[in-house]
Amino acid sequence: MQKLTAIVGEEFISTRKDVLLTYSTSASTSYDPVTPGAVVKPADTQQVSEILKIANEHKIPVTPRAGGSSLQGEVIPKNDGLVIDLLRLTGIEIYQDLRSITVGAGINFGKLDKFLNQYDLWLPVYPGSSLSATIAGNVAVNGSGFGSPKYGCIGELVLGLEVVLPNGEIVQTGSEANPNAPGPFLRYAFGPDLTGLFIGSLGVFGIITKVSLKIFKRMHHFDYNTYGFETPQEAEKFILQCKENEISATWISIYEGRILDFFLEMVGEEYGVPQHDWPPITVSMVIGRVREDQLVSDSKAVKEICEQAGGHVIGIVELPREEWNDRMREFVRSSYIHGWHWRILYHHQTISQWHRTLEEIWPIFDEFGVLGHTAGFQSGHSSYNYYPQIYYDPQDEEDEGKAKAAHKELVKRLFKTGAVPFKLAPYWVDGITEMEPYLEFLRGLKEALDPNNIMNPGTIPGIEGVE
Amino acid sequence: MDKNIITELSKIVGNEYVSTKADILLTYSVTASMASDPVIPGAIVRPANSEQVSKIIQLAAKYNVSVTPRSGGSSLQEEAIPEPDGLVVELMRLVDIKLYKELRSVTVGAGVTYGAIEKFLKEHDLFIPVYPESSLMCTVAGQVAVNGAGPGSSHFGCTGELVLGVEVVLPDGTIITTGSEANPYASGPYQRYSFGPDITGLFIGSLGSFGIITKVSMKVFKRNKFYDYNTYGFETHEQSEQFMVDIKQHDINGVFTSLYEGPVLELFMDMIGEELGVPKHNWPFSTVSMTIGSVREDLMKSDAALAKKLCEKHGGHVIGISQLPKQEWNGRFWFFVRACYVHGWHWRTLYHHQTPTNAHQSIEEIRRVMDKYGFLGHTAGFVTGHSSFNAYPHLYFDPQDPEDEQKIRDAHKELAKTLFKTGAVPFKMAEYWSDAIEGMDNYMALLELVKKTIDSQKIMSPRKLGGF
Repeated sequence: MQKLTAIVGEEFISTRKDVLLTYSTSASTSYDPVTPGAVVKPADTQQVSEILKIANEHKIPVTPRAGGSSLQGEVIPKNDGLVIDLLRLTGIEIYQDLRSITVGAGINFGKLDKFLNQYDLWLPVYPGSSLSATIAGNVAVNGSGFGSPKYGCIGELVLGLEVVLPNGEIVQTGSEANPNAPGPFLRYAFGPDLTGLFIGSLGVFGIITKVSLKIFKRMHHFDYNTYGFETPQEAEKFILQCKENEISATWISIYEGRILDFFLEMVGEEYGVPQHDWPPITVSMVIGRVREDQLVSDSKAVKEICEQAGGHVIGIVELPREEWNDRMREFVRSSYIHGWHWRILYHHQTISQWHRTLEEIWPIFDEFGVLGHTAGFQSGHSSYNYYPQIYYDPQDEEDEGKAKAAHKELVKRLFKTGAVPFKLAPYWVDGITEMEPYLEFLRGLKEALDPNNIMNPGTIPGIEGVE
Repeated sequence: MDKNIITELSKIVGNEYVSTKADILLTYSVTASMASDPVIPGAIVRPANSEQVSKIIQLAAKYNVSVTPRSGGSSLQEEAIPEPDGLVVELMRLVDIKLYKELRSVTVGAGVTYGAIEKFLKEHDLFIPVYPESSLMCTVAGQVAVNGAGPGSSHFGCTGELVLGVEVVLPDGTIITTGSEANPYASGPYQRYSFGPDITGLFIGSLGSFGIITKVSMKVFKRNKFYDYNTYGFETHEQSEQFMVDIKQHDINGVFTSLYEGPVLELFMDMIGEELGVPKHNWPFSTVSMTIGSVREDLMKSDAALAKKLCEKHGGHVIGISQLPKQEWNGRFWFFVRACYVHGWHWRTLYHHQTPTNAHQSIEEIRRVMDKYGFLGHTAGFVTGHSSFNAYPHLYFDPQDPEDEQKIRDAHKELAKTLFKTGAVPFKMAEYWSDAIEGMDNYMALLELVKKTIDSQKIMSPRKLGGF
């Protein structure tokens, strides 16, 4: 404690019970709180480096944390461990000619959006918890969200990272590895690509202190529409055709009829979505463009594609429009508005296998007697990001146990459908099979980079040495 | 090479696919990399599949023999020059192609060239839209290992950005697959960022240092049907550079956007202008040659009209000569190779990246080095992705004149250093870059640690990566 205090000053370190209690949890519902030993709030990268040297020397488990909005237990600390809260790293540097930006690990999406808006620019991928999620945190968990149908996951926008390794060394990746570089302009510099090692790393290889990202001219021309289909295959075909034909969709969500009814029961009135007898499958789509004539062309083309795929244009614009306009909080709002707690199970399917997750989910809900749903969105070249939610009553231990059990079983079954997670969260490690050489490879890297296993232990349990 | 090794290799691949014949070894002692010394390997082995590659690597590890993977041999920076008495693992027999139409992806074996995959994908009206200009011999896997760019990159980025996963044989013989295919139940490649952290990246631009890439899975796209070809003239560096930035910013699909300084373009046109049917022209200070491509005609037309407006906004004028970009694009499989060899000289190249607004710095540096050392050369380049510019300086020499060649080697070495100081970066840490860099100690330490961890015996492509 004395050494840490010397680094950050008394004001920025705490062992007070109420503070530790605050840091014992995150937005991850259905995870048990764990009380850390101390919380430290460094001001800059240099301090992070000095803190890690001390943690490494004393073999103290370290949990990096920023917005705390992660949903899968990523920042739940270790008992008596050290939480490094990065919210004081709030530097922002814009490189207009390079179409890029560098942000400190404490910058959240909301703040950055406000900043970039002044320049008529944006970072076009928004996690649904943008007002609290930081960009660095999102890179560490590799997330996606609104904007991902066109721009992919956050990882695809990264141009470089500043990382403090477990031994305290500071490494810069991407073009900025060259200290003479005018800023971030190329991720694939000084290859191999070391940047990727930290994308989706859940903090196990070090602490990301700065992120450099691609930024784009803000779109001002949007088309909002809904498209109805009788079968999943028609909807899947429709989306593939849209991707192939350069329809610039920034948001594509497929809803099964009953899930959409459920969703609109919660937020429909608030969003002003008119009552409608929704078809078996509805696609809610936002097309965004920098130029108006491009948008006109897309709007016309998408209708033709819809009809060719056997669907019809529903014409209700409020659903996609409100989803998009509410993109910095829509997910959070719809997740909490009903008052339940839930466990989530992010995963990806191919577009053409969109229906497979539904086929697994409904029987599991019945088997385990839990409530839940799943929705998702198209995410990049040819994937679909699902986020099933399994609800439970937090006051009812038996109910929560059911949700946990259903969650565990669902991973196993989803894996067998060919689904993949962005990252190897603990419950995925339990659910996967036949990937031992892959895990062994990661294990080697983990042992080399973090021989004392101080960085976020337990977060990717399958790659840690035998305890 | 130890006879026992040869015998064991023969058991793995059959007698027909292993050789120690002097003429064969001579062939594999060189590549398209000029101005580099040939090195005679000890044996060449040609495996049929990943399992054989795995057995070969295990054997190499057992006998501590260094391994150089090789496919098309078109690399220009010594990437596939073997070690003395080392083993060359030639991958051209790994020719499988599997298309996943619904996943918009394709998986190819390490022996599949861009020419072969293009022919295959064309039947399905698809393409991998980044072409190295040695496409007829360059393999996709080789291109991933060196991480290259080429026509198409101006819109789609470097090859690395199209990768969805790789199958790699690690130095201990273990075979791993990255990306969504790491899940054995996956229907194919559809998401690179699976089971994060992203370890696919480790093999992109790895120069074979971490293992042998035996398969790569790539994004494929519907072929562009509609093209606009034009040239745009500018009077200052700033004008043409800002034009290139604005093209990207306004979402114009320039699939190949090249920048030529006046004298470089003159030299270039002297060589191949007539053959390409480019009319004589008094080229301006700086010329941007751009191909706009799209799957839809109205989008292409809209882009072309806006490009003209932006050109004028930046003080330029539309030249209107379409033959140059058209030939660049239509010749994307061989244009660069042709332009490089047609003059009969030998040359060293020094691929690097600048920001588009720093493109002039590369031209200034190469001119300075040319003056200092007294040799002929040039540099041109093209936009490669979000905000980078790939310059490819050529330093010419007479291969019959050792003094001339040495001059080029020295100039090359110096140029890497001075380019680094301008903020330029290479796609990969080739050996000569390790001499040129300063202030990257922690980066190099991390890279070395990763290398040690994955290849503790240091058998894979020794020295290629950062000189380790």
